[in-house]
Amino acid sequence: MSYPESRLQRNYVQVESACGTIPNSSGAATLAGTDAFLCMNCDMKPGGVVNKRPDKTGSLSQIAGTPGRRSGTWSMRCSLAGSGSAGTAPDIDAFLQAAFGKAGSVSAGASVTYALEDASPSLTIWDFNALAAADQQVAMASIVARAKFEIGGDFAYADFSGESKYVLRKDNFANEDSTAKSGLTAFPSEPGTRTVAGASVAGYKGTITLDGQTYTTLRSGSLELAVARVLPKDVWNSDYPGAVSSGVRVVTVALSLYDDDSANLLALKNKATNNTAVDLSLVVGVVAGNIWAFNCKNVLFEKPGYEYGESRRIMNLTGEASASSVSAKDELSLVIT
Amino acid sequence: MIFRFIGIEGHVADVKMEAFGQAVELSEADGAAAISGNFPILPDAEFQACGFTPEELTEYAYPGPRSECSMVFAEKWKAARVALHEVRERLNNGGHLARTEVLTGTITQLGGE
Repeated sequence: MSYPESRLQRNYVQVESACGTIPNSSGAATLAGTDAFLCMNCDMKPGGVVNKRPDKTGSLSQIAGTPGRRSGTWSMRCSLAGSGSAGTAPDIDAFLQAAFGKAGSVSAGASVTYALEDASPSLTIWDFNALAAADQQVAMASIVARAKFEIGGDFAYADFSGESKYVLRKDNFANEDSTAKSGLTAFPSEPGTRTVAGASVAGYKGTITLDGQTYTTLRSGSLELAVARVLPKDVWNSDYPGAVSSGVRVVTVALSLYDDDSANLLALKNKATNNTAVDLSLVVGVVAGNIWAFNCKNVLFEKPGYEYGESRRIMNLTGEASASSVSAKDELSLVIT
Repeated sequence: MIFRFIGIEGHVADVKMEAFGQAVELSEADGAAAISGNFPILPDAEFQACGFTPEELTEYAYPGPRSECSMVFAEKWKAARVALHEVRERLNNGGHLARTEVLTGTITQLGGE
């Protein structure tokens, strides 16, 4: 008997061409080693209710319920790592596509830019373990409801999470219905070798520009892209969720800076206090091929708050970015160079 | 087929790539798959066409020195990245790793038309 070690988790991701259909060729998964990505955590949980019979039994005891609707949830946390070659997308490209709503735009040899779109691409996320005989699993129709990026630490990090149609397990594949199998005729083996590119970004190096001024006093920062994407779970005649439904998109920024008496910071505090929107750019990384620039427009900060817990006074800013117009989708963009 | 690495670091076919210009031998299919899958390697012919000198590959093997590289190297580096993009686009549109004129030249040399 052997144990699947947590450290030996191997993960892959593919963008689905049809929501809920695992990419395949005549039923064989088209999973490849180049779909691999490295992460700190990749969790997926199947959901499935058991509906208790609502009628009285005539005693205080209940009788067994019946299986009801199925669903799934997933989350992934990783360090930010560009491909190492400007103009080539990173290994987490699929997650970024699903978060922003469309594929990145490549400027040959220069950059990959992710801009917001109102679409909601779905992903197939694979969770293998090096112990081939252990159970393996896959989450299909995985949508990104939340993407959060953190800077200021030793590394920069990204968190993605959302719902899935279901989480299919290799060991139970034969017992599943065709909807759960999502186009597959067999659960695939893990690809023979993985191809992964890039190095983790130093999370404390880069350029922070707030309202046109550069700041070197940032301690930490985070940026969250939350989109109300759900898989409706009230589909008639189906145990499984329906296709993705999308709602409002919210971009929030949280910054922690050392307070100072500079004119620039005073001006920024006053804009926050007086509800004047500013643009900002959080650029993390200084090595070509691994520079991540998050650009936010029209950020309305809340009134600034001070903290005295450290030897130096800290100022915290939290705000939301907004689109420039009713047709613009420019409150956030990511440029990787 | 020989491919040359133009990234920072990575792993392909269980080989760790960590130096700019590092060579790795892959089958044509594996190399094409890696490039289509966004791994930063370039077929050797395209890499050589960028004109890197042995001295440049030694001096700029690692990202630190590359951040302050000469304008000459920066231009060659940009050309390599653009070439990678072109190869990837060609593959994604159903083309071959080698450019058509290279294939045609090879066929001609073999006595074909």
